[in-house]
Amino acid sequence: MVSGRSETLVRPGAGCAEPGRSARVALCNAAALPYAQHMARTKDSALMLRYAQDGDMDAFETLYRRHKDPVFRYLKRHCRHEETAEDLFQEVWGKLIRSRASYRPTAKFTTFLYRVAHNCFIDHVRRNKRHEGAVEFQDEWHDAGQATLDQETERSLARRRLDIALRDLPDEQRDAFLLHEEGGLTLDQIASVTNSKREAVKSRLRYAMQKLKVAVGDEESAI
Amino acid sequence: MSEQTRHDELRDPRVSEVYRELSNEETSAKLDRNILDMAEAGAPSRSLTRLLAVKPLAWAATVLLTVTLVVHLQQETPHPEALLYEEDVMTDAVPLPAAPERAIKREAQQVVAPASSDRQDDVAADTGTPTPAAARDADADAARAVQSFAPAAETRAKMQEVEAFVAERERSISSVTETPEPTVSIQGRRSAAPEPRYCSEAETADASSWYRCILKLTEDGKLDEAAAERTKLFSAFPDFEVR
Repeated sequence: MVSGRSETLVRPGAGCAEPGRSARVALCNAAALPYAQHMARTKDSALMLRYAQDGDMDAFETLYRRHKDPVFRYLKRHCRHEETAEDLFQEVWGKLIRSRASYRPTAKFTTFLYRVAHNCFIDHVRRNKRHEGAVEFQDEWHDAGQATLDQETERSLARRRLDIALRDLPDEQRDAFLLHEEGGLTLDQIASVTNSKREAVKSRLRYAMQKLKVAVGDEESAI
Repeated sequence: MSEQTRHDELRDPRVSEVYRELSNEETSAKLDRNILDMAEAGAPSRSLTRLLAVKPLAWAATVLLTVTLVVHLQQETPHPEALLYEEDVMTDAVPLPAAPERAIKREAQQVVAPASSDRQDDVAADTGTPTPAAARDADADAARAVQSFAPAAETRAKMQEVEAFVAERERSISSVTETPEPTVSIQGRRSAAPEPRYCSEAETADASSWYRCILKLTEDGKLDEAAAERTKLFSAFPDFEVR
């Protein structure tokens, strides 16, 4: 599946993914390798400007590869529904593309991107206030039988506990944790994205981490 | 406590590790294609952007240079009379490409070749230097020439134009040389009221006989007289052609 996706993505002359992700998105065009390496070293804001001003699709593709999976996971962890996450994901990148002309590299691109994603999710929640009940809860672990659970390894159980704990977190705490973990944002950046105070973000993140630590530790101690 | 330390306080390695194992979802190929297509459709046109926004100065510079070049070329293009002057002075010049106008001028110049010899004689007389070569060549040509009359009116007009230019040039040469005149200049002779005649009226009635008289004067060594008669001949018979 991974290789298939990569083959679809990599077009002749297009840039390749950054070296650190070569296992996930391989099959770079050898001729385009120097350019791809150059792109891989280019800052997000520079790539976005190249796309916004010159219509450089290679720059956009590099940018997209760099952030698509974390953003998708951020949205999916929030709404816990594959199709809804895909719709929101398209909405996020659509907004980014439409607002390219007004893009100014005043802040870190990641902050800008996750602010758009955060706002898209908030809009989605407001549009569908029953989203908690409306969305289909797709937890593979809930579909698994008791017999399967008995054969799980320690780490698998830890993942299950963490997933459940994440789902049960308040939205603000989950949001802070996902922005911190997936986006790699700092407290200030999370505060900027969520339009909150830094101390509030810090508090949310601390509470979230405590609950998640307990979830992981309890599972370990239980086994 | 540094920002990084505080940041790390909020990150638990165990939680991060388990979360990484849990969270490995990736976007589908279809979704990627949709986004990239959307981006490509929304991308600004490079060429239009460049043309309208990025290179106005280059366009302005190109237009300015083109206009300057055209004006310069127009100013540099030599006047027809200047061309004639150039060809007259540079006797060994390589002939230029045969443009129609240039060919007409060359033809006209051939027609007035004797007048040109006259001029050389006159100038030589004015400056006191002998001019045998040009006059002899012209006479030799004339001796071999077959008399004929060019029928074209435009050729006549051209020749008159050339003669006017030659006269003008003679005037300018005589004013530039500034040497004391040992003899009367051609201009002076022309301005004198009754010019002496060296050929009889019977001879001057016909262009052919008039020219034979001129040849005789030349053979007799009366070069000045021959030149004067030649000038009169071509004034009276502008269509007369020496071959």
